[in-house]
Amino acid sequence: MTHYSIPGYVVDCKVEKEYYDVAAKFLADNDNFYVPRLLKYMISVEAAKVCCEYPATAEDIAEKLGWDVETVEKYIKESIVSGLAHKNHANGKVNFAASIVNIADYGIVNPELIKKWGKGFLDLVKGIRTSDEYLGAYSAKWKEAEAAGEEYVAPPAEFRILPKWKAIKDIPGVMPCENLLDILMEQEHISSVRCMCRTVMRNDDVAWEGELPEEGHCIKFGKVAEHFVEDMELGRYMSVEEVMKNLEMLEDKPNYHMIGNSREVRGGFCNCCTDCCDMRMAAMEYKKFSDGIMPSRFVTVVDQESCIGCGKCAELCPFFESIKIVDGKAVVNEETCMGCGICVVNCPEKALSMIINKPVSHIPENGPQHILDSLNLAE
Amino acid sequence: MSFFHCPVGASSKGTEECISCGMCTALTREEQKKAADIVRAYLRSNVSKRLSRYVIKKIAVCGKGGAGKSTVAAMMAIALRDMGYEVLVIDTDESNSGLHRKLGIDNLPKPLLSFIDRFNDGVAEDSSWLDQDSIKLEDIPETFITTNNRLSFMMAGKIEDAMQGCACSASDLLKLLLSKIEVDDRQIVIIDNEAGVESFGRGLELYVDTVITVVEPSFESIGMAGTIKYMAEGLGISRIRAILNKVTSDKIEKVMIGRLLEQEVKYLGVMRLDDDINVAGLLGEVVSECDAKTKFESIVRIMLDEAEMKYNAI
Repeated sequence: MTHYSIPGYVVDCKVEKEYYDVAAKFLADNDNFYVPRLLKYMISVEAAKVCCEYPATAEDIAEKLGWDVETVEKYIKESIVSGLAHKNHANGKVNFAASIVNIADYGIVNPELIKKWGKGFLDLVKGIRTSDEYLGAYSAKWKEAEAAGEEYVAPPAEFRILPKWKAIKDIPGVMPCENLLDILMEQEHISSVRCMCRTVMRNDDVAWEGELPEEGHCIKFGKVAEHFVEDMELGRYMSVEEVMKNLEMLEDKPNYHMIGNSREVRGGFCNCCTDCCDMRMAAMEYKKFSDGIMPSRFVTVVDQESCIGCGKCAELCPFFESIKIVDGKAVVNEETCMGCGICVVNCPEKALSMIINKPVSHIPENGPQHILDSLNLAE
Repeated sequence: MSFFHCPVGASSKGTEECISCGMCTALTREEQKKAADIVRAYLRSNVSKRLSRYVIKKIAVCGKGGAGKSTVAAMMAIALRDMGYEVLVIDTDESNSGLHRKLGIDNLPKPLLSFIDRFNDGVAEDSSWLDQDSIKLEDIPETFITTNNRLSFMMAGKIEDAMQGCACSASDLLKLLLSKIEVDDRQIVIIDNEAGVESFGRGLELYVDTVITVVEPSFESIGMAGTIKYMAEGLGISRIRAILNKVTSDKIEKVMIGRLLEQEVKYLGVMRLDDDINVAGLLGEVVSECDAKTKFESIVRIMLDEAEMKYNAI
């Protein structure tokens, strides 16, 4: 893999061999340049040495390196808390992450770690995530098709817009995987952490303070929630009522819900600000989402009689100006409307509602089908 | 979002959710392919587990007398049958049954009440088939069930003579039957419930998973929908949906929907007052192909969407 092109990035330190070894052994997106440097920010050389022995138990590693178990466990903990590793609680073995890009989700949202790693680290992560190579991947196939003069139909994307609960809760035909309350009620555990994207993209003092709704943007479920709360000691478990109440604080902002695109809901969901989500950033240039995020099954419709043309909807629409005021009335572009429902829940006259305009097949049945598809692993 | 884009959102390799596919550590194309195969096999077996949470197996169609619940029950049975499902309709109306005509069934089965001698000219019918722990549709003796082209019909029993006494035991028999009926993913039972909420008091709905309440344009009908929802939820049924029936204008539709939502009753769709349906009812015939039938089929598809069920069960 070639380096991401981060203009102006200066190599300012020596990067020890252990970091290169770890990156080479585990990270599929190792670029042999920025990735080992990111690791150097995140863990000590000793911890990197321990990580090189993964997957293994603390005892195995202690024996191999000739260190005492207590010391090894200290470095193991360092690697887990930084978000780079995870422990198999069944057999005690610790293993390393598979991708540096997703690592960020885990360490970056720890206020203590971010203070330690500093702005240099965040600048590097931001540089990678806003580089042409990284953002370009989201629209690569779309651009290819456009260049060839063909129409591009995106395969089911990894993420999908989840409409605001109040906008769709009474509509006939809503599937369980589209109703936020149904989704939350089914989860064994729910936890919330600071949003990684916001921390990376804003990289300012706001990101350093933790306070709702700053904290409540990233909601995790099930085993992932357990990992955050119990293994990484970040965030806390929340009840369904708490989550719904916190989300209400975002109701009048252009924050949209984004969730894994499948009927089997896993992992968690996001509440994205318009200036932080890199997938949105990629798509705005091309005026549509291609391979990053799918629209929901809904679009907004306007009750012409009740609409007073106040423009609140147009002000808030996070996607391509899909609703605008034309001749004093709101008009929706159904082609670009992503069905997020933000306009609907904010209309002071209740002139907006949603309708279903896509079949159930729009949402893939199986959890990771989109991953299999994105890996291009046809049967 | 999953941990490291883990296909199953497991937080750790080897925890309960982990299926050991190796996707998280797959570095080469070969390793990814092997992992993908494991994931696909897992998906095939896991999907049915998730779907069983939502699947509709036994529907109770309720509503105020005259709202059109027999018509709705019959049209729903036929729509589902046409989509490939095997449907059993159980008529519990003890005094007003025209349901079999709406289904196009002429040979009536013996009613369940026949088990009790005073409802069967002093002769008690054999009830040993009810003693099994679970009863499949195929297990029900022909005496009590009439089948025609994947549509089956059973009756609780009708009171013909005012001196026969109240039919409380019919309800017990019905509950027994419903508690034991085992249907597979391609079979559905529809129970045409007596008008009113009386049946809820008897706990009948402990044996269904879906309540459809038919609502016509009247204050009482909408109020009843709210009561039905309240009672059904108390009995552990979370899926209660209204079908608006005999609606005569956009305004009435809007007001009815507004009132239902005020009571937090969700609805599946709206049926307009329709000549084709009314004429079929008056003549004691099955509703033939018409716009209203097509509209009703779309409402049934909405019901299936909410339960993640297919339109083509075959």
